[in-house]
Amino acid sequence: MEDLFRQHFETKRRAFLRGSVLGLGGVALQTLLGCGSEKSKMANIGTPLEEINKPIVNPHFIPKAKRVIYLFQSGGPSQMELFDYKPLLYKMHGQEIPPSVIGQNRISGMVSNQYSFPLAMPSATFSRFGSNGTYLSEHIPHTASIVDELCMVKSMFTEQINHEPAVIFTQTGNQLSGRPCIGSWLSYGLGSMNENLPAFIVMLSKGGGDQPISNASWSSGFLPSHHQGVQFMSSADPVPFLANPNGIDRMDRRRALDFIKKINRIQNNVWQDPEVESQINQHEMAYRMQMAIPSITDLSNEPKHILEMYGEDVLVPGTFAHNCIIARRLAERDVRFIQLYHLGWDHHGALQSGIRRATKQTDQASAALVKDLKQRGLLDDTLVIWGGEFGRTSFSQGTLTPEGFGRDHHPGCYTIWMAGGGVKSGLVYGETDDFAHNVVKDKVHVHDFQATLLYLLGIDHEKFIYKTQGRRYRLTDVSGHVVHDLIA
Amino acid sequence: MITEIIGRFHPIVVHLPIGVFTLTFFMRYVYPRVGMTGSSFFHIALLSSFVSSIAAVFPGWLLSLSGDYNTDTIGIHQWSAVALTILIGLLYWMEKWRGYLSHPFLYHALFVFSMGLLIVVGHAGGTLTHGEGYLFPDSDTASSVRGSSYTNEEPVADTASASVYTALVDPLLHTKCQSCHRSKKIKGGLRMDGYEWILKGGKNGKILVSGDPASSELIRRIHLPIDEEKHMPPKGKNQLTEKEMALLHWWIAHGASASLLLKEVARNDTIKPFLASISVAKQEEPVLSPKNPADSTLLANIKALGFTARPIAIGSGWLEVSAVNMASVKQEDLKKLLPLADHILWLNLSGHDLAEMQLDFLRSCIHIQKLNLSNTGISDAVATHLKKLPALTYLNVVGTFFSDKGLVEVCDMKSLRQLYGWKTKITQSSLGNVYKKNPRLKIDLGAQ
Repeated sequence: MEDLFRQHFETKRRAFLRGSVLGLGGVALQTLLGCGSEKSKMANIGTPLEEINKPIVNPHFIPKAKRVIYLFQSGGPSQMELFDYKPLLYKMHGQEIPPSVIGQNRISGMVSNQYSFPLAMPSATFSRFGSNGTYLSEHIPHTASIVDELCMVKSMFTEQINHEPAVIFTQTGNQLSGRPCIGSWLSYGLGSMNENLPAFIVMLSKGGGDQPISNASWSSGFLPSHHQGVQFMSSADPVPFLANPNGIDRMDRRRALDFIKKINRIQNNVWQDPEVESQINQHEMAYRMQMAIPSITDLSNEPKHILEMYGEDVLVPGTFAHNCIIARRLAERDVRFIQLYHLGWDHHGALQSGIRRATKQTDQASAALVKDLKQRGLLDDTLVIWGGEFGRTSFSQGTLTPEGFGRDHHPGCYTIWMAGGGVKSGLVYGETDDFAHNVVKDKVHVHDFQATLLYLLGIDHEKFIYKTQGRRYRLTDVSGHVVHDLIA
Repeated sequence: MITEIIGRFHPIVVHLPIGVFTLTFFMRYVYPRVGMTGSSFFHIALLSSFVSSIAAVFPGWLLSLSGDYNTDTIGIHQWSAVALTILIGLLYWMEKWRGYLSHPFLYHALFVFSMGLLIVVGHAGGTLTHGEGYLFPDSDTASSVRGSSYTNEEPVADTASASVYTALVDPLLHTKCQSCHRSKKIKGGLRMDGYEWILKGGKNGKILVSGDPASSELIRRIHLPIDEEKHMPPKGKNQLTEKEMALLHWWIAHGASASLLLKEVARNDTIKPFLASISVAKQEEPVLSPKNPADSTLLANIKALGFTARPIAIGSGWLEVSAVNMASVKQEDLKKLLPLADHILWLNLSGHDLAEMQLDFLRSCIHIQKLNLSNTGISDAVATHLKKLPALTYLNVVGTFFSDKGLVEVCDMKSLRQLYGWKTKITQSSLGNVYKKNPRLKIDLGAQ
């Protein structure tokens, strides 16, 4: 009897041991064999991070653009007052926007208490411009004069409804901060063409009554921190403390920097902190910028007719016009990514006066920049982008009075334009519905825009990755497709 | 009407005799064990082939009456099919009354010949349905089954004088309509492979009313829901895109003219997407063949001088060379570029004083596409070094002493597309002559 039982249990034990060996062993073997994954992914198993995270240095394929000037209009310019002509809004002024048009779209917390959503007729008249007869508003006559160079995308859309997430989303591909922005990706990936200047420079201009902007928008995220945007100050001295103090000359500075570098590296052998290397890089860049920056910011050699082309603000540091001419000078010196932020488009109220003020500050200089780049032969390989983080609603925020009405944030559709750098000129892409509320044709999501931008620079947005925190990241996150219709 | 319906059964029924006769042939010659015993199988098989052949020929004849097909091509198919039917009948008769015993050679010869004839008839039938070049695509006729990409094989060499019809409408009809509406296949009695034929119309009358797209049958049919019987192109064939439909709309609305010139309407939003696809500039984009990597020592040499020399893309041997980081460029530096000259695709010497330099190394840059000599103090002498370069598309001489004299020398360069001449001695008045010689060269003189 015991024999029978013993045999019974022995079999069970053996079966268990056999099974567990095959089971756990099988799992282990599966990992080793990669379980049928592609060879390319297999190669990354066990590959050190330094091998995966290497700058691409050169583009994946021949680029059309080498530089980008991104004229970011922070606050959300109202497309109905500028680019998107909607005759229906004039006719339906004061009437409720049909609920079928709003559908399931988000409205922001600021208007959630509104019980009425009356359509507001645009505070602008539209006329046709250019050889295509494109409709543009009276507020942007200078942009209208260059409309044949522009590639206007009316069908942009996003999901973000508030400024900070929306700006960060446009710049980094995700609404939560912590990821690198476009400029940082390019600085890391392609590097700087001009070794005496950073690859990524940021300039701000304030238009009055604006939303704040944080430097998360030009942050390098998880990339080495010397790829963050170098922000020029809005003053006569754009890079503070750049000049040597009295009594110190360039040779002294060089010797000091060499010594500091030496002792930093000795300490870093102990700490192994990548930020120390970043710091050394920044010191070296500052040293080189000491030579390069003064010649950029000194506008005394600019001919008068060029200065006049940008408008009267051009000599006032901290204005959009001044930043535009600096941007042009930086582009001449092959700075890869120049980003301007103009704050002052967030017209929740007093739209009528607000839009006139904001366009007066930006219209002439934006057009002048494009014209100036073109006559210097730089527009072909410099991509100029003009746009904000979202659009505005066609219904009024607050009471509908002629001077006081405003428009709320609207992620469902907005307009940007691009020029040069390989985009088709004289093109108006995409369409919105008659209420300027939804995109009806050729939607372009922020990720699509980012993918297209990278494509123009010769980069495949799906291949350009950085692995951190156990995961591969890319600018376009997990979506985005290149919009080939925009590319010449 | 009923004859048409019966006629349309031909493509179905015809497969029956094909199948049965092929099987019979197989059984006779591939499985000889079944063969020579004269079993009743062959009686039945050949009888079925004969009867089904007649059942196929009759609707086929009705179909030929519909006028949808070219009579020449039908002729071959029709008469060889009738001949085949008769031969099969003969074979059956020989089988049934043991003729194969008395005349075995004739019997087998007939059998094999019939099989061959079947292939001929079948191929002719396939050609009637699918068009020539279906089986073995050749350049002219393969278009009927080509994919939907709207590319004009023959680049429109002269957009200046091309008409809207030749440049845009005809290629569109060629891709989407002419597989069934042309000389060799005239569905509905309508030919669309020529302006006069389109105007003439087909069995059901005219297809377009000049100036009135809404009344034009062509427009009506392409806008029908795809499941509608009369919808064109038929379901299953390549459909028209929205832009293509808009083009036809526009063309008919503007008079459906064969003489309306492209350049007169070039800026219209409807026309523009099509212009982009045939635009001369796009087709002239030089096809870059791969280049072997440049010698690393030579690269190191020029980098040591301060030049940036990068491949234009990962793995490419073509170089982008720039002097942006150099304090000054000396004659010896340019000499060092010479051994790499044939690798240089893009060269930027902007901002450096080259007035006193010999620039003949540029002659060796035989593949160069973009050259930036802005603000370098050069003169017209550089033109002699450039004018033989076969691939130069972009030349920037902004802020130099380049003048009309140099312009005349470079304007004959076939590849040149953009010349930037702001702040030079080039005069506005010389641009007209340059345009006449080389209409593709765009010259930008900036703000005057």
